[in-house]
Amino acid sequence: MTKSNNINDLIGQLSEELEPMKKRCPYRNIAAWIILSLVYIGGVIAYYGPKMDLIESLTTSTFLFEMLLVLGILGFSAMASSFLSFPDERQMGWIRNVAVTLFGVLLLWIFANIVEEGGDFSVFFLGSCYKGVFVEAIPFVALIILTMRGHSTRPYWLMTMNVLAVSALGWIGLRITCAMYESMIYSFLHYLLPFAILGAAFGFFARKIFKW
Amino acid sequence: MALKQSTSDEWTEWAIAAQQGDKRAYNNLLNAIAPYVRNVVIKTLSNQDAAEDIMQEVLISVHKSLASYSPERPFKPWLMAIMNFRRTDYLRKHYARREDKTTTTDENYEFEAANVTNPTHLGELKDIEAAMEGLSDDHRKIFQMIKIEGYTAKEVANEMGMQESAVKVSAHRTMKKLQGMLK
Repeated sequence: MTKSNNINDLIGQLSEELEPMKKRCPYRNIAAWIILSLVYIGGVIAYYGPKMDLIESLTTSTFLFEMLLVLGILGFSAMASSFLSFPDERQMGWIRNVAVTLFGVLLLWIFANIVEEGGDFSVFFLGSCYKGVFVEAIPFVALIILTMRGHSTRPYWLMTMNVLAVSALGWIGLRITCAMYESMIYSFLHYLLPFAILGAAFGFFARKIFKW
Repeated sequence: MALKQSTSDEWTEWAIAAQQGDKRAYNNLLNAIAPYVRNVVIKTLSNQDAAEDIMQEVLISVHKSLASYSPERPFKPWLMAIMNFRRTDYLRKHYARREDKTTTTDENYEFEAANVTNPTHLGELKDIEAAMEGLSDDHRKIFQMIKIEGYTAKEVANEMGMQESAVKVSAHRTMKKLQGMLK
């Protein structure tokens, strides 16, 4: 059989298999994930209880700036993740650039605070790392399952955005519950770094995970 | 294949109709995009077989993901994203399997003519083999590894436990000797 016949057969077969389909909407998935995640984080907050000085923290401009920044990362990376599960990203590739830029600002913010605080790495507790990973693991799996159903042409970016969205969610959850907060380096080592390492490990398999 | 030249506006219309289950529009769409994909891909790959394979992959991917196409947006960027993805995917597998380092001689007459020993020159090959029989074991091994198997002088020197310069001299002298014997 010639190549030309193969193509004609394939086209004929695909045309025969066609059935009316429901168009996919990028906002539906992400709304579902955000609602699920907020409920989950609400559960985590209810379980661990808000930290003692939360009301006081909410009146400080630095804490509010940090929370708004992380909320921005959460929103933009979650949106980018949703758009990335469409082949053409719905031509909204700029959203992931915003998410990455905000993440860059957060890293600078963390670095500046660590320098100001003197960078005491002795605050590391392995148990707190487990808590961070535990809080973030379930939303991460949920987001991967949601985006796996998509048709991404940029699997590594998709995994990066998923990791950013979940890290931001976990950061918010832990920042308002964790009674052991002492310094920015503590937050960095326990809320961000373990999950970033876990996310990077998943990143190696992005092409396989988001295969279609 | 579609005989007349279709426009991207028509592709958009056909894609929208296909999403609603119109098999005829879908058939038109696939017939129109197949040669387009092949033409775009072949410009960057210069390999007819690879272009055909990628075209088939693209058509299957379009079929799988048609529900993700938004009718409010042009069809071509959506198609191009899939095409680029499948081309990259193909190339990644191609290089991973080291297919760029191998070739088939089936219907590849130019390659065969340039790179495969002509059976009518078999006598010459036998002469070379006979001449090499007259070399000492070390000289024959060095010559074979460098000139036939393509090892570097350094690799041969390591293998034989010799100086690199000594290996080079040996290979050069053996070549001269063989040339003299085959004159």
